[in-house]
Amino acid sequence: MFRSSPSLFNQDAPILRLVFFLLLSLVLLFADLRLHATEQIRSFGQHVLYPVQKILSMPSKYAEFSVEYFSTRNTLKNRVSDQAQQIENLTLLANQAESLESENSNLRKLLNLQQKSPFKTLATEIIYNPTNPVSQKIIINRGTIDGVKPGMPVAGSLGIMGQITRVFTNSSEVSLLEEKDFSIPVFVERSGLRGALFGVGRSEPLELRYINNLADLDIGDYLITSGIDGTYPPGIPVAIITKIDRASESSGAIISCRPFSNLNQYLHLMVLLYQPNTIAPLPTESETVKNRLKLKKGGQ
Amino acid sequence: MSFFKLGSIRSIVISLVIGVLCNVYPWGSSPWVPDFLIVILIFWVLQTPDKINLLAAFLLGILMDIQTSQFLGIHSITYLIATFLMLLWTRRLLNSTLLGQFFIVFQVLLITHTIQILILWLLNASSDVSLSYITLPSLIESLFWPIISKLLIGQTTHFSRNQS
Repeated sequence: MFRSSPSLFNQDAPILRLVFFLLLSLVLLFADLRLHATEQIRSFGQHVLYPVQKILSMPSKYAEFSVEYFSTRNTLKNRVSDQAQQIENLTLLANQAESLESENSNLRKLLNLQQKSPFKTLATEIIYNPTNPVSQKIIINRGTIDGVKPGMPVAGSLGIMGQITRVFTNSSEVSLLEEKDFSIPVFVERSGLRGALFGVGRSEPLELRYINNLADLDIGDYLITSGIDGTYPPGIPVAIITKIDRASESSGAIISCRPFSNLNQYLHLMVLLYQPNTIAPLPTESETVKNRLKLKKGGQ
Repeated sequence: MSFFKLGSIRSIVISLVIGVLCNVYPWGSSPWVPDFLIVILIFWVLQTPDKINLLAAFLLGILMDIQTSQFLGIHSITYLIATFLMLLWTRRLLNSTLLGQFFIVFQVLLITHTIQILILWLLNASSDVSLSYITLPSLIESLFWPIISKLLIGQTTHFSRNQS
């Protein structure tokens, strides 16, 4: 009698169930990608995971705390005096800035320009940055309770770091500048040239695009937010130009930039609670009609 | 140990919770950070396929998608494929030594990670993807396999499986 040798593969592997669950995953993926219909599942899951994430992020914070706790009296004393000095300097600057601000707003009123919108900042802490091979994101410990909304800019002490992309009750997700297809309108501080800064990918330099090949640019030029899109407040530093590659063809230069704030360094960040109070008004029909009437009257 | 009894629900749940905790710990976002949960998951798939199977893989995958704030479904597809491969190769795995199991598990994880990276690359085209994103985590995870087997095999035996 022949006996068939034991098969290499398990014959009763559940292919049908695999296909069913794979299809379910694909439906979820589609719902998330195209319809953004999975926010409830996500916020529920995040709600369950939040306490765990919070507790597990403790050890690194404790390490920091213990270093501070055991630092000697002398270093602390030095630091206090340094900081007092710094505060004095900053107060002076702040006073000056205030007077400039009021002067500026008066001038803007005189010239009938749009007023700048003031904004508050909200200090936050990074809980963790998720393991993700292709993109750069961080999770911070402020959410809808604190008034965070998607689209708000996030900054470190040196400059813009990213933007809020998803908000949960206690936490929110920040996409960093390096994220692929991240874009931010900027201008060159020295020459006033406008352009847009784009993220290219994890640990790649940022790219300044939409700038003429022959434009006046130099390595070391500062890029600051122009505030044109209304998402970012104007005048906040973003990046510095590190490399200019002027292409021989007319397609434009490739300009590499490095963000001011080291995206992987900080534990504490600020969310800029910036919401421009006015959007540029659209011309209404009545006004255009009025203008036409005025023109006609003027013509007569 | 009487606390853990022959692949009981309790030991399965506790080990999976430990796996989730290990994954939630803020290791940073480096691409080589291993997925601890997948090793524990496929261990239980091999030992107790009647309790831990595709449904568990799907649900744990969704949880990990939320944790890593990726699109829902990417981790669940990964876990489902790993689980399915383990079910497919159960006989081969149970008949081989620990070293042989290590190589088969490495194979399973390589296939799984390749599919995961492929999906990510399709969703986010032209993001640079290097081979080390696949090989490094697979290697690290399959190195966990003997450790986890030794740790958990005391509680569960092939014997219990054959009986059922």
